[in-house]
Amino acid sequence: MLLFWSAWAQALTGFLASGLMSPRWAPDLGLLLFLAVAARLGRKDLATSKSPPGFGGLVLVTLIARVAFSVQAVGPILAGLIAVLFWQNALRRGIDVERPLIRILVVGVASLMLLAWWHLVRESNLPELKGSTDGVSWLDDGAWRGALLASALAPIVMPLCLGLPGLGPLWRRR
Amino acid sequence: MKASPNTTAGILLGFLIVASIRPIPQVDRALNLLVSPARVVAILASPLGWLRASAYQERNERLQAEQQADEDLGLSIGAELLAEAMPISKALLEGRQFIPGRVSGRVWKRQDLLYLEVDDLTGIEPGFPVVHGAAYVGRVASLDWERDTLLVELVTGADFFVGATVVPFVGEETGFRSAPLDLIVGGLDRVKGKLEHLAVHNPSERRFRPGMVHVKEPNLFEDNATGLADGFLLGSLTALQGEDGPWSVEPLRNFDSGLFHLVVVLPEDIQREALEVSPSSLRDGKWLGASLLSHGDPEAGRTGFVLGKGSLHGVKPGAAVISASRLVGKVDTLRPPSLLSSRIMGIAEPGMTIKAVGRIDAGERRGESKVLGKLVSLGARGEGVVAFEWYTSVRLDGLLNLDETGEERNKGEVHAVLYTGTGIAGIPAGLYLGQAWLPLGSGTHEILVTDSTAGSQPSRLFVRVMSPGGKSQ
Repeated sequence: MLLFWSAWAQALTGFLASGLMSPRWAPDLGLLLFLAVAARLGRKDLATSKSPPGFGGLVLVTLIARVAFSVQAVGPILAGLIAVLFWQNALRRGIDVERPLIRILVVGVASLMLLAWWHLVRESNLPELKGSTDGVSWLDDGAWRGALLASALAPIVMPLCLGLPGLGPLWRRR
Repeated sequence: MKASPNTTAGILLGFLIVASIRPIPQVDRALNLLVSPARVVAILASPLGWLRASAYQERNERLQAEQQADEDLGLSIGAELLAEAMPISKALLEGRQFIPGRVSGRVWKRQDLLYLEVDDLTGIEPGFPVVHGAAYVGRVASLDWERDTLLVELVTGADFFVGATVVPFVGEETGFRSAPLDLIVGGLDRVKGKLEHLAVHNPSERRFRPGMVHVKEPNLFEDNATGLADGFLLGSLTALQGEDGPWSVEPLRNFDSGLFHLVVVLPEDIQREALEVSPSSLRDGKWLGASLLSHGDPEAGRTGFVLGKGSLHGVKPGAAVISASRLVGKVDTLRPPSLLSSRIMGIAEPGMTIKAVGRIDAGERRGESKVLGKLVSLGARGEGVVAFEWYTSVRLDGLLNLDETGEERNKGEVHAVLYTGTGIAGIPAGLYLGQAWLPLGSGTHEILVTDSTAGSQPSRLFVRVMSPGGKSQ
């Protein structure tokens, strides 16, 4: 079920960005689901899962769902997910990442981090654009607005994500 | 000692960062295998596509209706540009025959070596000149009989030398008419920023005289190529750093990205069969129908999509994707496609590179076809509108940059319909791109291409399948 919901979250984000709303404002729903589930997993479940799906399983499921709908290559997506997971887990050492304000912070920083990472990957892979005088639209087209909206929606959407049918048994009850 | 999960994940993250910045094919292939179920996962969200069914249908019908006209114009532009590549001067035609070919790509990291596809290699030998119209471009370096492809060494190559003589412009008072100015031309003399001139070596005299530089090779020994290139033009002799400074030749063609159709020059007495006309690339049976798996990219700013055909179906990096006769995008060139799906870069994807030709459709120059060369996408600028960076070292109206008055002469624009040209493996010539206002002047321009497929992919798509030998289409 996690794969099903993750696929829908990714597909819906793309669908929103390609018609229903400006691509600049489309929130990354897949990221919200990923972080919401990750926040409920035990911190010692990283990589080697003892209680399914574990962080390793979560990353793999989200990776497959993302790759199904994104033109970004597999390696950069995987690196981005692991980095975002590190960021949230680092915060979890000291604070409760499920508090609304903290969720805003976690999602906002994670979204911007991913945005910067995708841009870095794209730029380093495109020798044709080096020295371009006018730059490239996605560097300054306000994609940060999507990150802003995602973080604003985080306190509402993330609890909803956790309540999606079939996901309950995946994490430990608090 | 056993590494903790955090340490393992940290090491993996570091490795992935490096592999993302500098793609490693083996790693990409392994990761593609890991995520092959993604093709099935995409079906889970297919109901989203149903929501757009009517829009897709409408778009498909419009493109189908326009297909024939688009295709005819593309073919007509191709035929005109091919005709333009053939020499017409009586002096150049005499004692020679000409074999046309299509530029299909360049040698990796060797921009001065390009591949030229011809229909029949019979009679062609290394050393034969390669020209475009009256302009000398280079010579045949080697032949690949399996792929009917020649390797052409351009005159811009660092090790390339060709004998030449200067013919003064009409009415130019040189005062040195008794002694011809002979020189050697070859390689690049980079001057004036990005404009590239040909380097001049060993002039027979040190006194500059303006004029057109013609090929004139010394007859040191007799072979089939002797004298074949004589009379073809290299460009105009210029002395941008003063008459005592190094001279250079301003070329007549854009060697960097303006070469689409070239012609190999052969002696007249070599026997060859008559050439057959190549069919339209749209009707050569090398297209594979494919459906959309994604209906928008979850990553902000991306305009690509995922297609339901992968390496298992013969899809290779760089293959063109079309709808009707319009270019929609190409398969990701950096990383191999997955087994069952491919990542497609839309034409609005920043960095997407296309080689283009144009037919001017308004103003005094209406009806003229022009080679534009390389366009690099800078991203979408609205529904169906894409900004491209276009660099040209040759003016669109064919005039030379001799007086360099710049501003006034570069202000003019012409409206043109754009099609793909040859020169990028996997993208055939004659695919409709859109329409644009093109500046006449040389240099780097940003042009807006309208009426393109950007932002509204129809669901009925076709992907180009390469031939088994890897010959570009």
